[in-house]
Amino acid sequence: MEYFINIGILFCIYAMLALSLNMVVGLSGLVSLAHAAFYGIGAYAVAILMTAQGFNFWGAMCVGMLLNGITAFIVGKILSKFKGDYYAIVSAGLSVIVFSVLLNFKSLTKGPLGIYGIGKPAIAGFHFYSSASFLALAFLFVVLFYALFVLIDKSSFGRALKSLREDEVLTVSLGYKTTKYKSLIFTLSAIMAGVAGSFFASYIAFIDPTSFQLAEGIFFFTMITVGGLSSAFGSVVGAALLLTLPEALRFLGLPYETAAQLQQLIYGALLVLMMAFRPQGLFGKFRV
Amino acid sequence: MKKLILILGCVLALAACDNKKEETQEKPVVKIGAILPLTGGGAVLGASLKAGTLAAIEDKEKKNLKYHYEAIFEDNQQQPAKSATAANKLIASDKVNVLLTFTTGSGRVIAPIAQNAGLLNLVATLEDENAEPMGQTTFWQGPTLQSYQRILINALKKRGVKKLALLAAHVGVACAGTEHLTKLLAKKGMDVQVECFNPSDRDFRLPIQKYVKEGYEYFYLQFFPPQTDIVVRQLYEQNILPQHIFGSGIDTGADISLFENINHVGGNSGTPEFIDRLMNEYHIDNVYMAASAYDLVSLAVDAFENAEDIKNIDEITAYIKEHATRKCLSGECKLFPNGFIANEAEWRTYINGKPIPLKE
Amino acid sequence: MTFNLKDFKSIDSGLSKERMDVFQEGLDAVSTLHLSKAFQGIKAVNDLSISFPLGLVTGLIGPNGSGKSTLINLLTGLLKPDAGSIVISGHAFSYIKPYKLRKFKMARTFQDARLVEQLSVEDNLLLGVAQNKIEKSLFELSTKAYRKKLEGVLIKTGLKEHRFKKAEELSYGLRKLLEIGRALMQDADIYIFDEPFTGLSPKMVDEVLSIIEILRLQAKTVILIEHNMGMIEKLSDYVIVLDHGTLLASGAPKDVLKDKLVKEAYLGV
Repeated sequence: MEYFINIGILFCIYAMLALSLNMVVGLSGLVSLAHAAFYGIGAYAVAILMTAQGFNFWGAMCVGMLLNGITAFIVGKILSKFKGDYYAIVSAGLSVIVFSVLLNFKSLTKGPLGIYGIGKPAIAGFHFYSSASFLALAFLFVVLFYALFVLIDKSSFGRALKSLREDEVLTVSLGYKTTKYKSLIFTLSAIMAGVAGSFFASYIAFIDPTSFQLAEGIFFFTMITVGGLSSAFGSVVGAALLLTLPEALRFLGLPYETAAQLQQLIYGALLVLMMAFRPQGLFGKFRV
Repeated sequence: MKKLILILGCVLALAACDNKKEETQEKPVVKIGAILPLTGGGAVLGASLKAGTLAAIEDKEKKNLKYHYEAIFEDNQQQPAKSATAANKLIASDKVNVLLTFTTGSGRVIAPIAQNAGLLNLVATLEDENAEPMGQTTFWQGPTLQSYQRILINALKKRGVKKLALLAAHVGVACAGTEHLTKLLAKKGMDVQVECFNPSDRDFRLPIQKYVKEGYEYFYLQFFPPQTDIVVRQLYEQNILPQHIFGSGIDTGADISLFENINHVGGNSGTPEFIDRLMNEYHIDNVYMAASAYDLVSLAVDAFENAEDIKNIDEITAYIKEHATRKCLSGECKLFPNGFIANEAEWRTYINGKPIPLKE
Repeated sequence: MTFNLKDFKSIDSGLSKERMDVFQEGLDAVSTLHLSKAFQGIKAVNDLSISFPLGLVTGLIGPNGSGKSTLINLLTGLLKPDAGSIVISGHAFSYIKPYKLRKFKMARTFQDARLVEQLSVEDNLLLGVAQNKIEKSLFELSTKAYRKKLEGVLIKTGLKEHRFKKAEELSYGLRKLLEIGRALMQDADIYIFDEPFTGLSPKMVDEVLSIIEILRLQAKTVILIEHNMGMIEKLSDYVIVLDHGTLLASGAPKDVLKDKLVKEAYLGV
């Protein structure tokens, strides 16, 4: 049971990430590879502030949200000068920069040694020490993020995003200041990714920079591409699928030497197959 | 008559069957869940630790034990975060009695999980002897950073090294420990230049050329795979001789032939017989920390064998605290209050693919 | 700059009273002053100073490459002028930021309908009118406020049965109607239609004709780019002819279409 609860917690964290990224990639057509950076900032905010400064989880998470908001706002402005593939490359640059900072700014982040002993959240004296309670809390946030996604999708704000993802020039001529829209959704998405990172740090209790490399951002991308672009349900399905796949392989009793390789092979094959036969993903509402 | 013999024969056969069942019922299984880097760059290290683990179990099982011991291996791809799911799976699904892993990062991730489950957690790692404890049920074994540094400083001083370029990776204690080391070396009159590299770096040629130009004829390396092999190859490309290369944990590389005649400090690899056995029976080239894994598993087995109730973690940890300081395969083992069982480090080289201890 | 009533010696007396009043005022809805735009050295629009009268249907004609599309793109902010200025409803600009079109109540269609392909017909129609202030748009979840107008436009354009289909699923003609519908939704004061009749079935042509007629009756300013001279004659109150980025002729349709220079320009192509 404990095992499934722990898988459940990881699912919640990945679902939060998938929902946040899908807002930017699926709803708005912005190919962001920067989200590993925001994930990392959220995680380290909680790790540093809780262990070194005695913050509680919520305070630390809020600081992380603020940091991500500011970073995303500034980076978003730079990114708005680029389109398509260039946007992806420049956004990947942020992931590389943040990873480098996490690795090298030893006085703050302890570099490769990582930060351990990260505590759990508490509300009115109740501490979320048990996995089951942590899962419930994490799930609450998934529901919140899901609702936010649906709200945006159904609103006029969402309609404008969906319009600018296909034809930004047309959207501008219909009266929308698209740079502001892109900036807002990117910032919001970054804050959400940071919240996922905060939960991750608290759950795993030890973090080091290796969990926040560019490769993670590519993994997040795979989740939403397979699950479905521009779809809240697709985001969640993608997270569930890509999380349970390696775990299922574990249970198949394959020799360990092949299991990890097979997992990578399957991810790669999934992406290729998806793009070839179903570019919108399983439950997607937008074809790239 | 025939019928009687037949019946007797069946009864005996049945009795024999019964005995067998009783035998297995008498010997419950103790499962060791080992979470190691089995794929990726660290696979060579994982293979070594796996061999050490299996060798320890094999040796123990030769004796008449209360329990039968079995190891179950999970891959964490050298990422601490993946150790958490692996640990949870081993606990919940495989119902392991003890966890074993490699590196401090992985150990710290598993420590609270093990503690919550009331399980023993063993970690093979190189670490600072003053490191924070990992958890109430966690013990870790390996050479201390301090012993590495002490051996290295003596060895370098004896060889009259004056100018040293220290190249290290931003992984674990590799780069983190260089600041202190530099100070100590400076006290011994050595001019040390330190450069740390990201784990993704693959080209060290320019830094090497730069140091050669500036007159640094000796290099000291602290890397993990796959960088270890790459740096050494690139040093050879620049015509740096093995005699001018030193390392710590140099034997974390995959291609042992590269490290012929390179003097380095490493954790005690165990006896020559042990090394031969691992290489011949378990078919591994690199015995990095296999002896530490062997010692940890042996100690755990002893703890379980001597416990009245193997599910009583307090009993198990008490035994370990009492018996960890002992003569072990990797030299003298000494338990520190923080849960660190320090084994010896040694100055050695590789000759014909085998680690050979040297006088410092 | 106002235009001269004298240009309309033979104006069609079918104008409504409303339009007659507007017409007699003689104001411009849109005008350009020494407007220029070049592409790789070739002047697509060359020092152009013209006016589109307020409340009338102006046909904008000229052979291929005469600068009509460039001019329209300059007026709607899709291109930046090299020189000159644009005046819309009395406001002068050297460059119009496209998102201001809504503010100036200007709506346009494209030669090949430019739609948001993966959005529904309804969503495409709503785009031009839905809340565009970012902080308010997030909370605009209901389209009730636009229901009435939406239903009206869906009927007018014959798209009612296709309302939930994605734009990419529509035929060429329906796509053009959808784009016109989008413009209608905006309840603009100035409409720019770029070859709205091309590729339409006779039934659809009638539908578009009636739409433009209604706009005329409402004294809306319509700029109509068309190659079909019959349509120009039928619909326009005023005609502007461009050639090589400059003004070739302007005036009442009957006069302009008989003009020797105009005929040469077209035949010469």
